Amino acid sequence: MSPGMGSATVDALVVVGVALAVAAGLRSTWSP
Amino acid sequence: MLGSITPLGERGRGSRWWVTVTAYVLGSTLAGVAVGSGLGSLGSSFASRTPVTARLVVVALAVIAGLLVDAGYRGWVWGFGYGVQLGAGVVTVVTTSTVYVTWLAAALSGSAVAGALIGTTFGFARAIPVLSVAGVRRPDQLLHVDGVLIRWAAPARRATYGVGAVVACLALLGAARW
Repeated sequence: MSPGMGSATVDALVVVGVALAVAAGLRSTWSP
Repeated sequence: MLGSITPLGERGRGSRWWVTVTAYVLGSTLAGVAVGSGLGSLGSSFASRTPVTARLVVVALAVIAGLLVDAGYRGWVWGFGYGVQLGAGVVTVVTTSTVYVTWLAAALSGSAVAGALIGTTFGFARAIPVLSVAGVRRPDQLLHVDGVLIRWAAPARRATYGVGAVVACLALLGAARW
């Protein structure tokens, strides 16, 4: 994997991960 | 704790007290064995390089610090401890599978900084709704907040499904692009 490709993949994973983190974090407010 | 495991209580749960208590004592002892031996192993390389005197001083300071904490700083102690527990995401009740997938994304990001960014977002988003009860001073206000949370429970569940679907699409689009 080239350095640029790796960086772009990390960026995409960060975007996806952050979106999931927001959803998971806020949704967990309704934990019992 | 002692009030919760009595012959009276166990009879009410249809259990025999001595069976529960035997299992409880055994479980507690085994957990102690596991944690103690694990920590002993983990600390062995540090301990072998550190004189006994220094290790005793560390223990003494830890005892003193612990007593100070026990004496008067309970709020921040339990607040921090509870926060750590919730921010870890998976050591208490897990309400949504997105918690697991969040940590999967952090692992697959392959970088401490990227993982930390995802983790920071989760920990903060997990904790910040607590500010919504900042104004609760009376029981009726607490009941009101409780009512709002109940009304929003189903929409929040649906919103999580929606966000999950969008994120899955984004991830697949990203995969197609790279």
